[in-house]
Amino acid sequence: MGVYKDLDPSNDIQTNIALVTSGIFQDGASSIATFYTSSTQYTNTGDYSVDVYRYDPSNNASASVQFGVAYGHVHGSGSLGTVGATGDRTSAAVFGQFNNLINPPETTRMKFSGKSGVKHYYVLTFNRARIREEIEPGGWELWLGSGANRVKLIDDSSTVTTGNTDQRNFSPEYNIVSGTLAGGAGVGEAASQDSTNGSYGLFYPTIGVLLLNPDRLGVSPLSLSTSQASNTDARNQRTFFNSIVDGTYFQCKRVENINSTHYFIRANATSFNATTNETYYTQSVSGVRQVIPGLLTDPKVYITSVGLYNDANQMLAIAKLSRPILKSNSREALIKVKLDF
Amino acid sequence: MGFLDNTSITVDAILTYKGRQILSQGGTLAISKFALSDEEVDYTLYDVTHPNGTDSYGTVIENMNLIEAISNRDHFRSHLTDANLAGASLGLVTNYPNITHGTEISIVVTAEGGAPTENYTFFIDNINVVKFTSAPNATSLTQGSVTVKAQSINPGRTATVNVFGEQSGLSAEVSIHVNTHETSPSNPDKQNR
Repeated sequence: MGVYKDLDPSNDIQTNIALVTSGIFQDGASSIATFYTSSTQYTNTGDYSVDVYRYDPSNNASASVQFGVAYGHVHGSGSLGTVGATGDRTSAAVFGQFNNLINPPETTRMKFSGKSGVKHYYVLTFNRARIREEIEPGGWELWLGSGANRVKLIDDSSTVTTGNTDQRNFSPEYNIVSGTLAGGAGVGEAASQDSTNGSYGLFYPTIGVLLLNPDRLGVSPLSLSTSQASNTDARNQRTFFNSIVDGTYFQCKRVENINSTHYFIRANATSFNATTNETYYTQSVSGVRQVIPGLLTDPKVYITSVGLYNDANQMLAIAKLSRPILKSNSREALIKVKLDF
Repeated sequence: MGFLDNTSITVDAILTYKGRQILSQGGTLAISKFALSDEEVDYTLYDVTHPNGTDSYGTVIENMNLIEAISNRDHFRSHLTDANLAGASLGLVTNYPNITHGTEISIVVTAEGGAPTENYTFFIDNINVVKFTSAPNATSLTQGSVTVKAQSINPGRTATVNVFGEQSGLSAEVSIHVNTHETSPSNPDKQNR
């Protein structure tokens, strides 16, 4: 043996896939109760969407965007501009944006459970880096408020485990329903219960998007008013943000598949007892290299790093020990190297 | 009576650039072997005059804190190996100062002190400075010997060619300083990875 030692796939390599959930908000929090906006962002692009922070960006330099909220209307209502007139028609842009993303071609209206032909929606979309892989179905709860009114929203993945069967561009799709996660994801009102207004919305865990139905939010118990006035900068997204602020509670977790492989590195007693480290040797005038005094008769070396290689001797992963560990003829070393990707 | 310590050392590994590159191209890592290194250890700190006796000779080394693993690695500077290679080394010219652009340098390795005859892996740390004549875009080659060619660069730079025995893991370092070519538009510091 030289420098490399083969790993025995059956004994030295163990692979497992772990499902890891974690809080999605800044600092790893799984729930937050306060919400802030940036006046700079709101002034510049607030007519399209509102970025929401956990901390106040005006006095906390580390504050980062947690999610954004927006309002979309198929005709651009609630924003400035109409067809053939000046104005960005921001709500039409938002409607088209998410309609194009989520719905199949030639779909021009949204469907919330039993109600189709819906012309508008609120959007809550998480910061991409916060999602990592996806939002955990059954792992979020959003409270909305409007004056003294409150509604607690979750998804219905606990009862409709495989999601809706509607043909969307992203699967799974779950309904947003009233309920709470406390005590085990209890659904208060099923998605199909209100056939007049439809469900509270739709949830797409893989893209981190919640689409909320303004028609359902506009009636009891929340009665959140949404302006559909033409050519008017109504800032419904601000209304939605204020409703989140009044709700004072947003719990959400993300979920990731972590592919872990453990490599058991075994340095047997008779192996790895010499080194190519130059400081291990002295060189005489005649050029003969000798092990330094003290290690000549009782060879000892130290392990500081482990390299993992493929058959082409390419170093693919590297692990470092926190401190050097002694290796000699009378000592064996077993190092468990964990590689996540 | 004390309890036996049944713990093993567990460490987290990180992917190197090569590992990431393979994954990003849809490949699989196919890790099949390992090597151990004693990088960062200075054996001259092994103190055979330590007053507390033989058990304390290596105290200075054993108590040091090691730096974290970094991705920007493709080889170790030293390896642990078997006792039959103790004292073996690679013989070669290790310093080429004042090299003019266009000059070709043959790096020929001689196995010394019991080192086996084998192929060697040659790593160039900056191929803007010198390139393998047989594979100009490669940063590493594995064969018996190589020829590198000094590049036209401005300003001058020193490149390091690390040499590793493919099986023995014996290593050596060749330093090549290529002089400034005043009319050259090539900056030796541009990204070459």
